[in-house]
Amino acid sequence: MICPNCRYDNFEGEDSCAHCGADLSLSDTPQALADYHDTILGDHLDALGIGSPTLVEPTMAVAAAIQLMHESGTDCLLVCEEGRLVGIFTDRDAAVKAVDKRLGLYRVRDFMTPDPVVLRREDSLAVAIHKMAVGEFRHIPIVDDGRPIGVVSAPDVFRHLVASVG
Amino acid sequence: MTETTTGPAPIEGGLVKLTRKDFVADQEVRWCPGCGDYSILAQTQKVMPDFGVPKENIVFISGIGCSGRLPYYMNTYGFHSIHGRAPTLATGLKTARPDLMVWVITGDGDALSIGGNHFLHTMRRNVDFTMIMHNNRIYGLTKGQTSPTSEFGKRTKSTPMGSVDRPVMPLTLALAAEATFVARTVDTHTEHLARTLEAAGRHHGASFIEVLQNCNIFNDGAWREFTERDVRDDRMLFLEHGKPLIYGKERNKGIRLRGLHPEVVTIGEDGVTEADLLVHDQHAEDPYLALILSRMFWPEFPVPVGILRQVDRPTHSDLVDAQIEAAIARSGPGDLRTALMAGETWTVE
Amino acid sequence: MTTTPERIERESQLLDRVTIRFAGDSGDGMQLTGTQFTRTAAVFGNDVSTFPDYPAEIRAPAGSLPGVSGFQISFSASDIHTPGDAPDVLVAMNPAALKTNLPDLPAGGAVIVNSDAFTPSNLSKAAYASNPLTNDSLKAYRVFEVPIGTLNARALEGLDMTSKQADLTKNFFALGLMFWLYERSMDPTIAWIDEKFGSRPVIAEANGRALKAGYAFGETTEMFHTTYRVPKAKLPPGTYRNITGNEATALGFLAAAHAAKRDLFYGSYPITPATDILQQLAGYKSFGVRTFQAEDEIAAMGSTIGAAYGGALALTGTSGPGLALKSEAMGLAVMTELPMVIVNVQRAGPSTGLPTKVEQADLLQVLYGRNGESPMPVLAPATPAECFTLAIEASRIALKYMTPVAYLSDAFVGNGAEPWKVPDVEDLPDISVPNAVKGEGTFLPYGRDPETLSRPWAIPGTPGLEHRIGGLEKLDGLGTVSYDADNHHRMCVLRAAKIAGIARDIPPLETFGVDEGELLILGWGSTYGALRSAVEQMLPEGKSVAHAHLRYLNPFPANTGEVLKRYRTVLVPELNLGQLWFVIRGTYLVDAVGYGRVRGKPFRIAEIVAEAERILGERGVTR
Repeated sequence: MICPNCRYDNFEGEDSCAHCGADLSLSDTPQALADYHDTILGDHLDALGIGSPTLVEPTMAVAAAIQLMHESGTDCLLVCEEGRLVGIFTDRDAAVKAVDKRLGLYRVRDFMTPDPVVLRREDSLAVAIHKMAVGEFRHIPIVDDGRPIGVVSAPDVFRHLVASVG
Repeated sequence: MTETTTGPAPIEGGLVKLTRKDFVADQEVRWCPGCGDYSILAQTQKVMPDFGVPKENIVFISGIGCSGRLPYYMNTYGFHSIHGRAPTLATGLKTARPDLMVWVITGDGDALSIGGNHFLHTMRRNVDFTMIMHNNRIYGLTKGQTSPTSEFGKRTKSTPMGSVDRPVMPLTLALAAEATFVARTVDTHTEHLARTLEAAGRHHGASFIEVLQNCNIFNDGAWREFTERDVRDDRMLFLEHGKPLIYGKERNKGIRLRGLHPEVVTIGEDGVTEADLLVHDQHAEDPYLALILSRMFWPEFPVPVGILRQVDRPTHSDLVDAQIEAAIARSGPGDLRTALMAGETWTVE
Repeated sequence: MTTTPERIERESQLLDRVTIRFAGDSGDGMQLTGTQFTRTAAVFGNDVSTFPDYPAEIRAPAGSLPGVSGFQISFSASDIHTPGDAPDVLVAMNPAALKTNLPDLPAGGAVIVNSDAFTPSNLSKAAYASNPLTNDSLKAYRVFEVPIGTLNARALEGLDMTSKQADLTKNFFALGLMFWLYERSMDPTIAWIDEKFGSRPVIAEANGRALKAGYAFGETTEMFHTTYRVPKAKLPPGTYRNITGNEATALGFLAAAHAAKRDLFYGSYPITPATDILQQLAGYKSFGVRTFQAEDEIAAMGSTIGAAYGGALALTGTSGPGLALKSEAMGLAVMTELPMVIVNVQRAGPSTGLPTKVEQADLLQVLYGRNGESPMPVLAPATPAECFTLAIEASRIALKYMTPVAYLSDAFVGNGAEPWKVPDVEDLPDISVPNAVKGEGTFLPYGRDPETLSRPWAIPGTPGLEHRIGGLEKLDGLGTVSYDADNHHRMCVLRAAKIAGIARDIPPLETFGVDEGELLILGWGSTYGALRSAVEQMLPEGKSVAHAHLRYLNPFPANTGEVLKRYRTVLVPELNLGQLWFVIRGTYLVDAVGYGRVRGKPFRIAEIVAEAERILGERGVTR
């Protein structure tokens, strides 16, 4: 095999280049998918930069919640009661559930998805991808002992993959 | 060929012409009376002068078995080695000394049982020697056990209820191992034996001869059904290059190919003519005809004897020596000092 | 990176000896790093000793434990004999390398890690539950966390190469850093880079930058407060090269063929750790060397016998399992009294054992492992460089005494390396022997030379000497097959006497240390380094000890019995459970003490010292 360093034509399977001594063992094993697998299986959610989530009370008015999402440029809110996560309210909830309602009459707790699927910061990217695929949601809150510490979204995942594998 | 009693007679040019007697050693031959090995020895001694090779350049290497005694009875250089391993010594010897003429004497057990692996590889490498395998379908020296060529069901002291192993066809094995000269002959047909030995000796490459040999003590008559003088013309197929496969006392039986199978036919019956018969081509590049011939055996078919295949390929020594020459041509004869100083050196003052 | 304006306070410490272990992934280039550092140290003038630790698997997944590759180098201002009991500093390029090698690092040792590689993914591959860099587990050591990957990538910015290619050069960064730490010049490596990569200027530039970046990092970081200096050793003048035992073995037999004025034939079958010898000899075709890769070990031995019969200098090479297969054929070589050498690069057994690990447990096999009374001379080199001289010596004995000779190397001496003063070709001994020619009277293939008891070597092609040899017993003189009772006894006795007589023709056993006294440490093979170093350590303390090292194990040097008698106790440390120990006791009726370890690793100097002191203590001796 051709040494990637000095281009010397070595016998197949040589551990190091006969001309320059460079290690050849990484060059002759299949590598392409390994990077991808490494990233998906190896990287943990805290590597994505899960950011600081926006927290609201269940009693907040829906209209105010939608306004808050718009102003802070986020597409989901984590609903907490006494510091513990009780639900998640996303722009999709707003679009679908609130569409033909009179917003002034309702609270966030009426439209949130209660008791959402959550993950921990040590969980791998693979788990997050799997849950998103099976559950068909785009956001998963990250909790630490019931307390929300972040949110991972589908775009976060894509951004991370592109950065790692590119 | 003249036989002298006072030693080799010089001929023009100062070359010494050897005779059969020059190859007879002074050892008393100790095979059982009636053993087929006597015949093989006699014909070997008889043909040896015909090669014009000086006696001192001839080496006989044998394994273990009754056949293993043969080198002691030849007045050449000889090596009675260990069971199954003669081809390995021959390979080392020929590689170091391509100038020598090497003969390997072996038996059906020595070559195909313990020696099977070396048989395969020496043929594959086309080491330039002649291997004479004395096939008596039995282990004679150890007094009567089955060999790899013994028939299925053969009853012996080690297989009192009959052998449960099927035999191999040595010629098929040799062809499968890419041997460049494959032949079969018979101990009792002295003229055929001598001719076959001579052709094999002249062949430049690995020559394999299966000699159907009779062990009259432990397996008498193993081949007699078709080698007996009065039936052999009807039951053996004497191969000749370029000639159609015809046999029989009246020369009216032949072999033709029907699909993939050989078929025995009678010339003149059912409109069969000589033109329908297979024609022997011992120099064919591919081994298909030879393979078919190697599978034919009595009683389904006449037993083919003679040269099944003879092709020319570079021998092991040819190729090894060519590489040495190429290496010298590329970088000059090896310099020991350069080899010792290889890698990075430094000097301490 | 620009130089910082302030000078960092540093001291330079003088050391007599340093041992570094480089460890990383198979792809981290640790072998290259190690060999470059070795070369630089050697060129500077230190005595060096190295030992590579190759990965257990052919291609283990990146970052995994079986994929760790290591290289230990010890360099010194004085004469050293081993690559060091334990490293002073461990350079670990990833968590798996740290995990595997940390147990060998003594408390207080230094660890330099590539912190970039300590990702959760790599940590889990190394079976670390948590990051050792952040928990307390490394508090016994001095840890230096260097983001080698990142810094290296930064140094190579702007070069036309992918990030993967750039990452492959980080071993040069680590090398540069170590050069700075041990006050070594980068010049030899820079010259090497320019020479090797002359046709690839981008790669040459990258490697050079990586090297200098590592060096500059050491210079400018505040991490390291001390640099170390190991002065030159006093080596005898001459031209040197670094050589492994296997390389020296191959070269030794090439030289032996030259010295014997015969062509070399090598019949062999690939087996770890002897395969290198076949591959190196296969490269010497321009010398007329004929190598033959046989179909199995037995064929290899058979071909060697055939070639020897034809008059070549014939040899075969293998390891323990292969030697077992060759036994019957070796017996044929003994019976036919033909010259050849059988090289056994020993490894841990029994059976397949540990193919890459050292052991010296084949001694009894070469002495006694054949049917019948089948004596054979046995030699064993003690160091990598000695593999060369002993190859020539083994050939000399084979040719002069018309006998196969066993040459016992092992995985440690075979793979380890040391500087070797290259001899002059003119200084090589003449070991040639004549072929027999036709003389007056009947030729006696088994007639004997009165001095050596060897029989004449009549090779095929010699007119008038046609004769037959083989495995059956021979009539004394005429060499024909003989079943005579008294003849068989006489021949067995003769064959044994021929081998025993070699004792007159080999150097006496030398001792190092007290000429007579309390304790003699007797060894053989690759344990030389540890045993010699142990005695060197104990002598200045006034201990009554000496070291003797056998190169000839059959026959023993003529004075061996007398040497053993000069000491109250004989200790035989071996990498087996007592083989030389057994033979010494049986041959000399001396109550030798054995110290056998079969851990697949060489002895540590400390354990030999401890055992010696234990014995001296037991005997009530304080000095």
